[in-house]
Amino acid sequence: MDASKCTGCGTCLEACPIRYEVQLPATVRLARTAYGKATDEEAVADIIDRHREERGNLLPILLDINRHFNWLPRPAIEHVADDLGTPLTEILRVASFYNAFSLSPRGKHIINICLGTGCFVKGSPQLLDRLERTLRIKHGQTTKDFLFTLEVVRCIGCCALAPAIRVGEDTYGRVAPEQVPEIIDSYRKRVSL
Amino acid sequence: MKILCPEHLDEIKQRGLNLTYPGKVKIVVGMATCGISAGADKVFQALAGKIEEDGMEVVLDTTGCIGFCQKEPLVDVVYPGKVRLSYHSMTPEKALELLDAIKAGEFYWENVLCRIDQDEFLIEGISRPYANPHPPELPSHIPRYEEVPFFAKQVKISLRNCGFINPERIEEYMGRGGYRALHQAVTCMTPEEVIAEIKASGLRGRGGAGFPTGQKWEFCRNSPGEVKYVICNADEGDPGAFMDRGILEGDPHAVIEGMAIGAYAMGAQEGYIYCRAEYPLAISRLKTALTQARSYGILGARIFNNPFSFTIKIREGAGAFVCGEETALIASIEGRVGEPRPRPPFPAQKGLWGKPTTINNVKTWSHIAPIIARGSDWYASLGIATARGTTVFSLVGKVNNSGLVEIPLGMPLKELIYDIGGGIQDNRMLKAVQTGGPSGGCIPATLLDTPVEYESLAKLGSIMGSGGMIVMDQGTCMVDLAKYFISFTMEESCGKCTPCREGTQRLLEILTTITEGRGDVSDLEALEDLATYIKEVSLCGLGATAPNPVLTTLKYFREEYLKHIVDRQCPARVCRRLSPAPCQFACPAGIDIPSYIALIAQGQYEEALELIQEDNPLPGVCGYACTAPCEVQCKRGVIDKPVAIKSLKRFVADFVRQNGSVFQYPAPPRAGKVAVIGSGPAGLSAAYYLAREGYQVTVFEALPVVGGVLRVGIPDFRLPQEVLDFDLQTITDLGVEFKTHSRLGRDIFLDSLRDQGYQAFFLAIGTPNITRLDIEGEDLPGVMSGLDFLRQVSLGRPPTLEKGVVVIGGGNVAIDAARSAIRLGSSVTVLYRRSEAEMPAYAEEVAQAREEGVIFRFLTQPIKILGEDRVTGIVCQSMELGKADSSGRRRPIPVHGSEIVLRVDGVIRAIGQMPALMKFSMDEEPLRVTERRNIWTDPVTLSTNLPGVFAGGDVVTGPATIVEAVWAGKQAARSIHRYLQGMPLEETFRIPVPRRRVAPPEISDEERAQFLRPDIARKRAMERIKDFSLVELGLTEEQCRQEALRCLRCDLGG
Repeated sequence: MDASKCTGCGTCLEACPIRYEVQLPATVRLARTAYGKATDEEAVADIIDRHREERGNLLPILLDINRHFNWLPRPAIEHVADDLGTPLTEILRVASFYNAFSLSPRGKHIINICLGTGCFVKGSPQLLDRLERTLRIKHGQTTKDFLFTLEVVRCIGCCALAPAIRVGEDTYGRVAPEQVPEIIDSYRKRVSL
Repeated sequence: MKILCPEHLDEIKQRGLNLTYPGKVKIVVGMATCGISAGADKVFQALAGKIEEDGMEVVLDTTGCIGFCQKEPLVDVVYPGKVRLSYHSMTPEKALELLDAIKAGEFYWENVLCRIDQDEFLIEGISRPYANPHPPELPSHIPRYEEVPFFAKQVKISLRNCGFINPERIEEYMGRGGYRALHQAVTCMTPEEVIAEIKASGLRGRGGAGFPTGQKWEFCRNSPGEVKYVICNADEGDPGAFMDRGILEGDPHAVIEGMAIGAYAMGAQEGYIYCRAEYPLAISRLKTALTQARSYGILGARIFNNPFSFTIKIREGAGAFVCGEETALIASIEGRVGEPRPRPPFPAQKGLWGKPTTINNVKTWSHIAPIIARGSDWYASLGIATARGTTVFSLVGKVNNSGLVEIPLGMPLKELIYDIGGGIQDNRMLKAVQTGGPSGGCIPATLLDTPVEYESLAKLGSIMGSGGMIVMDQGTCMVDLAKYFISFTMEESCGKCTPCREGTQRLLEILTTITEGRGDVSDLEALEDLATYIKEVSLCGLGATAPNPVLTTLKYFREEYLKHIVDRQCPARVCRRLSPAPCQFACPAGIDIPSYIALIAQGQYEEALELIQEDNPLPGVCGYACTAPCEVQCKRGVIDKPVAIKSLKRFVADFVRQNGSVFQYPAPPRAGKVAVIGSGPAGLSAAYYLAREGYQVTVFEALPVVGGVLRVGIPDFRLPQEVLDFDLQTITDLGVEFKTHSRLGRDIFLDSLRDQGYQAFFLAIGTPNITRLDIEGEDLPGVMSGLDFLRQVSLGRPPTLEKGVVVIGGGNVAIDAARSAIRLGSSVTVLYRRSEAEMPAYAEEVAQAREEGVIFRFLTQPIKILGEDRVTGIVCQSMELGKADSSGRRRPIPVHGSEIVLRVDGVIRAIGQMPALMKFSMDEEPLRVTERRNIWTDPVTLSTNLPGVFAGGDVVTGPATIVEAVWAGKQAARSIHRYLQGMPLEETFRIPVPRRRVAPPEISDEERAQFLRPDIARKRAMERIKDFSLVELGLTEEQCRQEALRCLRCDLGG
């Protein structure tokens, strides 16, 4: 296969006759990447159990794992692949398709800046610029102290209060670039307390 | 408790009504996501804390969003038996004041949005008044709910309960008639009757395409199979749309009831709500609602004791726009990658897990219960023939009242934006309205009479879409907007089909070239071709509608595209690459500084000079005597020191003067004779640009020499004669004729010039008069004005000064006069009545004057000039600084008893300049002047009150800089050209644009950082005062090449 020509369309996966069969021998299966903490495995097992009976449960499982860790750690993905008997490629394909999933570690606070049209016409690009400069990262990146990850989202439904940002669960409306340092600091303080 | 009979429903209804109307003062806080982000949670906490602390008999509750998001946080207070008042923009402080008023048994009058006298129960078609029996008399300025423009024209069906019930209590939903329709359908109607009712109502899908809902249901019902599904599409991915969020957060049961009725009609047993994960509050309220519905037996097995069973599950989306497409949504629920697949088979035949499935949007589902309860005739009476009922829009952008609005279909856009939306913010001009998100299009302001409904919008190339409506004013660049949407669809394209995956990328590339000023006119055709192609052959709705933003902006805003391509201007000033670098923006003449500096770095000096002349015909003069506002703005100055832009300009002008010449051929001659009056910088600039256009230009000069202040106002040691001569030569070479000894009002007159065939006039006669001191002895021989003195010196007739001279004033004329006098061998003292920091003269010139031996006496003013038949001395007085005056500078106040006498034989006054007293007229119509005796002009076009007469430079602005006069001349030339060609004058200021984009030199940032601004060599002070030769020696070629490399090329930055 010419890797540079792969568009990730997935047709090959769909056509593959052994697609839903994990072909690895059991010994290899056990040689999963190790979890960082023992409790992590339990957490993932719990999540899988919670959705085990559901049809089409891959997405809900991945969403819960993503919420638990703030990203999808490799051991957890391998764990899910083993447990559900779904090929790892299929899981990675799903995980890389949806914007909500992250395959690299993210910060404690995920800052979503809305670049939806409503926010866009009300100046969210300038706000993004200010956030990037304040945090000294580009969007899609995480600060070195793993406190913040800056991500761009398309519309969080607060268009009437544009421009809006969301930090974790908190939504801020009508944010002026000047307010950015203050908002960021309030989370930094929360950590140091 | 399971609901089994109508009596059970009535019982819960009553419980709900008791909760909604507790018979006590009730405070309701709007706690949807929009409210919370505006601070509603803080208001709620403040209220809750205080109520508990004081043990108040007040019911505090939350509700969804009433739609007026602009005015959040909204708080409603029900004064029982009286009225309900709605408060807007509440804060925790105001909330406490509100509680104080309630405690005192009074109404709270601040921030009142409106009064609500009765609630409408849509399902039952009744209204419930708050007053018992008569509504109270309230001040007349408080509008009723029905009178608030934002609410007045709305008809709320989807939003019927939003803002009126607590969305987390099923009882309140049932209190307002909820689940009656479901009961009616399940117990009294056959599934066929339900479908017939929906078909008769004319309801069409509110998700975008507008497929008739009843028909869709019928297909699904008629599809063979026992297992069927209904799905609610709540994956509201359109940026700029939040109607679904509003409904789910404010009234989740409306959707659940609709789905249950649909499931009954189609024979489905299971339903899914696919909600995007970005709406956590909506998901949590849905979960609560589902639990409650199950507990009452409204969902589950044997609903209302009938064979009908139905359950609903929630599925969270994971952030993929394409999952709004039905087949992709189904794939996503099945746990797969959300890619669409070709249809047929349609989901109604083969949908979720291969079973017949119906997918409807949140808004469509929320319309079902009212249709069943009130009947299809009632519903069909709303809207227009092809589009029945109402729909919800999220009205956002630059509109005054943004929020959720529900209107009958067919309402003209204008009514929606101006009546409900309250017009455009800050009274600006509406430019366009965008509907349908990334799949929709832009509708220009000229088409605002279009009714809002499926076919009319489609005809314009847009779509109704799910209901995002974004209002844009002149600050939005349409090319940039198209680029924004295409970059959105490009990112969200799932990649399955080639036209969408590759095509959107190519569209984005072309749009990017255009916004960066590298576009070509042929790009527009390429865009159109490609967009049409993508539309025709894409697999799913995403690709088929993705080009709409491009096609509609091309259709309605082609001019704006052409401005980007041909003029390289972005009229909205959004596209950064089409905005000038800071130095170019700071230059009044708007010279493309980064480009000519880059040319200097390459050694292309003649080309650099030609580039400067595009915007400034006096490169030599400005290289020597400009105030260089560009260097103040230079970004390199933030790092170390600004680039020596002025010295670089001087170098190229000198180099070309000494080593070659530029000769510009004028454009082919044009009919039209123009008289320029005054040969200073403004006049020369106008003459140059008019001649380049091919006009026949004559410059009239009052003095015997040409050049105005450049010749007789700036001494030779700052601006050598040959430099001016060279710049003049360029202008003469273009065929401009000069006539000296021609003073307007003495030797020449506007009327007679017109009789000689001159069709347009440019008055640039400067400010040759010096303000008088108004002190005793001012008219004695030996007292002269600074300008006269400089004029005499430059004409070679300097006055004799023996004992010494006093110069009064702190401007550049004063310093030039002082430095000229010291070169004539006199001792010189400058008197200035304020402190040194407040001197308007350039600090560098002051420093040089001091080096040359000029004595400065600050905070000193003259009070009397002594002498019998000639000046012998001057009496001065010290000042101290008082309070700041209107100019922001501290006003000097005389100190009594501080008088001293200076013995001098010359006094030069240079305290201010003004135009000569003039009374010019044409056809006996006088030329309009301002109070300060300046000529009045339009600030942009520079036209005066007389036809064909334009004016600019110091005579209009008062004393200003050379480069500002150059701008005035250039602008006047543009206006005169348009005037002579019969074109309308330009009414807005032109933003200077980069003319060239010279590639940056290959040099690393580290290397560039090491170069430092060179010190500019000067002659020693003792040498300088011996004659009038040049003080600053300028930079060498080598220095200039290196200095040019210091430029950070802000013009190329994105």
